[in-house]
Amino acid sequence: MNLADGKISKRQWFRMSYLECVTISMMMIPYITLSLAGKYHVLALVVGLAFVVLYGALMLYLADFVPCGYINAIRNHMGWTAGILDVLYALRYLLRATLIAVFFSMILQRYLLQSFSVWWIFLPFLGITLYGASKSMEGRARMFEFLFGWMVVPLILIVVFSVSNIDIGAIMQGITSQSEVSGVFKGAYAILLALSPLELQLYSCPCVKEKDRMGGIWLLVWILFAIVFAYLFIVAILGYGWTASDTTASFNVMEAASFPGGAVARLDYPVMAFWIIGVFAVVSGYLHQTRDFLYSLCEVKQKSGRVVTFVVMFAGACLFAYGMQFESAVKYGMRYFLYADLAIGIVFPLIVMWVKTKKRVKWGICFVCLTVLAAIGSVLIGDEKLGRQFVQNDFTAIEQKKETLEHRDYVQEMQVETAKDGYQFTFVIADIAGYEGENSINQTLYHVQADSLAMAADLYQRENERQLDFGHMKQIAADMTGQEIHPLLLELGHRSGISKSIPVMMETDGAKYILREMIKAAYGRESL
Amino acid sequence: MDLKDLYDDNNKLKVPLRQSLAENKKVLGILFENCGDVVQKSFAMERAEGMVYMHVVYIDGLTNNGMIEETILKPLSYEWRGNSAKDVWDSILYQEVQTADIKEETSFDKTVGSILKGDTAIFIDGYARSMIVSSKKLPLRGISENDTEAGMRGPKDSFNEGFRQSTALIRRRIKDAKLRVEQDTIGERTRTDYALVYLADVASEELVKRVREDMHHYDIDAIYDSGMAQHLMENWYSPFPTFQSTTRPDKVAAGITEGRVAIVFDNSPEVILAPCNLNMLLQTSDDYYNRWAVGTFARIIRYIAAFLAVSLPGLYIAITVYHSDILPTKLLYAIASARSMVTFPVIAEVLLMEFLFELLREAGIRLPGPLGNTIGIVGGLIVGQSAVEAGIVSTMVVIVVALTAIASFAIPNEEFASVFRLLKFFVIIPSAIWGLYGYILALLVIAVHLSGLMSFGIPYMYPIVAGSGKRAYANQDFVLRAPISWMRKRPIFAREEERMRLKPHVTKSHATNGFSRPAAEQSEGAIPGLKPHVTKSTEKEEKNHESGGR
Repeated sequence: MNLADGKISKRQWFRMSYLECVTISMMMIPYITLSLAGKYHVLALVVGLAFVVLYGALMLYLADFVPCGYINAIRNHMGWTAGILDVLYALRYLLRATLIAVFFSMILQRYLLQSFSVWWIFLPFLGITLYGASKSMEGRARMFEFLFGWMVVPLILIVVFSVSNIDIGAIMQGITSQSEVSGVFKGAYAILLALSPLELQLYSCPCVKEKDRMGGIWLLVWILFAIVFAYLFIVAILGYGWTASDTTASFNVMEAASFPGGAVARLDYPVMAFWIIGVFAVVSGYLHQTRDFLYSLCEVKQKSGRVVTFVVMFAGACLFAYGMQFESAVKYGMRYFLYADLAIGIVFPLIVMWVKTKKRVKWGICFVCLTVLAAIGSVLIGDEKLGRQFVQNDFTAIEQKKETLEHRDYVQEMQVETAKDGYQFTFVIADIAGYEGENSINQTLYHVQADSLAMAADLYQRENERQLDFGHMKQIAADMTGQEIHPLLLELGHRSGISKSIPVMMETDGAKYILREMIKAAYGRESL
Repeated sequence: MDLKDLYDDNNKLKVPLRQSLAENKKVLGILFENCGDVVQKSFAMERAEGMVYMHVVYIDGLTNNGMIEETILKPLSYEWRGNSAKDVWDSILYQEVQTADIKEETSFDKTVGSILKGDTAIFIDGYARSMIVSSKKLPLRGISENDTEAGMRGPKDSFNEGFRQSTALIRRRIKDAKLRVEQDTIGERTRTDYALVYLADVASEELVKRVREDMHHYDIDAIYDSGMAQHLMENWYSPFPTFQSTTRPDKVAAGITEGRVAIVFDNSPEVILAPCNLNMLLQTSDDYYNRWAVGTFARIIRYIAAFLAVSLPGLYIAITVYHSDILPTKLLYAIASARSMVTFPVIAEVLLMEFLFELLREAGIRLPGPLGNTIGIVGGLIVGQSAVEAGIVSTMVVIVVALTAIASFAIPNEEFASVFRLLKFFVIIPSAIWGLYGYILALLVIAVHLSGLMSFGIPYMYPIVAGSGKRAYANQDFVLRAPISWMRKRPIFAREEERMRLKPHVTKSHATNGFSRPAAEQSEGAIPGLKPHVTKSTEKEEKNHESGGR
């Protein structure tokens, strides 16, 4: 019995496709829809998902036309433009893979590894995704059949453990911000862009054994379900304002989950670590296709040729990532992604299909050339604002290196009140030196006046040569009004090292809130 | 003529057997020059037609000398003295030598090969042939209790270095004429006997052919243990074994009846089985001898242990260095407090303790039993405690390393467990550099590697991967060990037409004798997948299975 026959099962195909399509998009779509469409966000979501269904159906339909594989179809039917298409596709996918990997590295830098340069996060990830991409389609399918559970189970746990934080009222709440109807189309288009990994169906679908149309329909249904569910879930926890204000706000929902009994203080770190697997799926998917196009282009057969291909891909991805540090490169790159990339992804397969059925190679070559010219034109005259906020130019560390746990001082409670210039912070710090497991622990107080919490922590470190750690803070006491605490709340919303589930005591009116609720309210007033 | 002239490039004797006994004796003389243990004796036997000259060769120490005396020398030289026969050769072969295990050989190379294995060769003047009498009496230890794969329930015997004893232990368990023991040799110098053991009607032909081909893929000078041959056939770059090695005859017998191929080697107490997947390496024989719930529970424990064995130190480093926010506050304070007394960084602390543990393990293996225990006590208790008191390591690291060690010992296959011990270091390094990110990246690399591994056409991660579809029936023997009565199908690597292994009989007495009926007979669907054999529904179901996935 030999199970290695170059084909993939329906289950493998579903799991691989699901990870490729859903991982990034479910985290991004709430932000892009709300920030672009504002109060028309529901309409934008519906239109966007309709686009996705059409796009997905088109890709699945086109995949049926190339049972021998899309790359082979190009080689067999597109004449001398086959080489050009190979280059274009290889560059497209390499660029997509790099952009996602860099974006992902930036998120990880912000939430997990603040003291690392983006490069230092990006490079190992690139290496491992290239390793994943080196497998055959069957090997990749087996890989994601196995890894699917690693990704999905933590996400389900997050949902289960966050149920208590869901606020249905936040979904029902109206949005009062200024919004334009054009935002609907922008939002819908952005949703389609977020789900552009559906294009990979062109390559995986022809490898499926015993496929049927229902499989494709189920895949699309499950993708839509995941997107809508994630959308409602994120909004219910963070509110419209917070979700729309921060590119990576969605990741704060992971922090909202609390493990029963407190065995694990925070679940966001482990879940985010498992989220890596989903990103790995999509990036390795693009790199896998880059590899196949390069193999096809150079007719690589020898092992040495394969090694050279991977070295070229690694170098190319590094070059693209390096380019992202330059404003002009980002500008043109964004224009390309917004106006050309998706169009190419749709038009080229249509041309190949048309040439294959009508046998009109010369016309096909003309259409390819026209598409390329149109793409170049859109890159030259387009507007990149829509996607600009996703890429930052700075790859350097955002915080200094974290000391090991015994060299940090743990803030148990923070008191804050308004001062002449900024805030007066009082930190209640645990004295761990004499800790022997008793219920009580010695505490010391530290008072500092600063404009922000970051500055206060910095002043403390300069004075005491030890870092402050807010990860185990149990309470905030604020002696100020809602208006006064507003800037501080926005800062806390951005700061990943502080649990958003801690209570905040408002000493002015004796009220008690959860920090997340206050940040949600603060963003709501400011942004929408 | 010297020794070199006798052999070809493949270390095989190229000279043929000749009719002249003198010439054959000359070759033997060159071959066994300065071999004190080789006994060569020429006889002249008196027959009615005249004197017959013969030459007997065997190796002292490998043969049963008494048997040679009784079955060869005494009958030929005394009991059949003066006998008249048309053909001396046939007379000796079929009448005079008093043993059933005698055969003709026409190749000098094979004759010498037989002598070297402990057989006795008889050369007769005038015949370009030899007779090989099986007279082996190899120096062997007896069947001992299994100490590397011990179990609470089930047989306690284990294979030893004796090739024939090992095959006999399998035969003893599978009394089926379709059990094939396909013998051959490997190693130009050692000429190690090995046998492919399989059930002719259950193991797939493709699998048997592939194992056979793989065994002939290399020409190697020596094979001293099954491990060497196994590594020749495996991927060099993977630390994971793609064969299952075991010293338990019951495990081998079970594997053979599932449609796998066992390879038994002379001089090796480890028999290897192919194909193999990760799941099999976490199973023990006890799982099947105990009730299903107990077996399943033990398996769950082992899966968790395997995960801890590879990942616990890395996770500890990642959390304590980068993501201490995950820890409950009191635990964090306890770790921080303990760490404040330690001079070294966490990574150095963990590596030091892990190195110490591996050192103790290695020393414990090399030392004889009682001393091995002593080294454990000295290392574990005295050195560990002293290290904590001296501020070299913290108590938490001692706990982590000890837990990891215990977890690695819970993995039933030693070869597999040692891979986990090795990979633990692979996880530690990226975890120390990138925290949880590095930890997940390391696990991801392992997962990607495992997903790509194949063992004779079966994915290594089967049935987690490629285990879907009704035809597979894979989950009945995975983390959950289903009740034996539910496991009616052999695994997917058995021949398709021989997948059925449990066919409960329906007899009238069961239905009428007043006792509760066996599960198989209760209403259809009460126990999924169990139906009386040769019924219409069974046939229909079989047809449905054909459309299953991978």
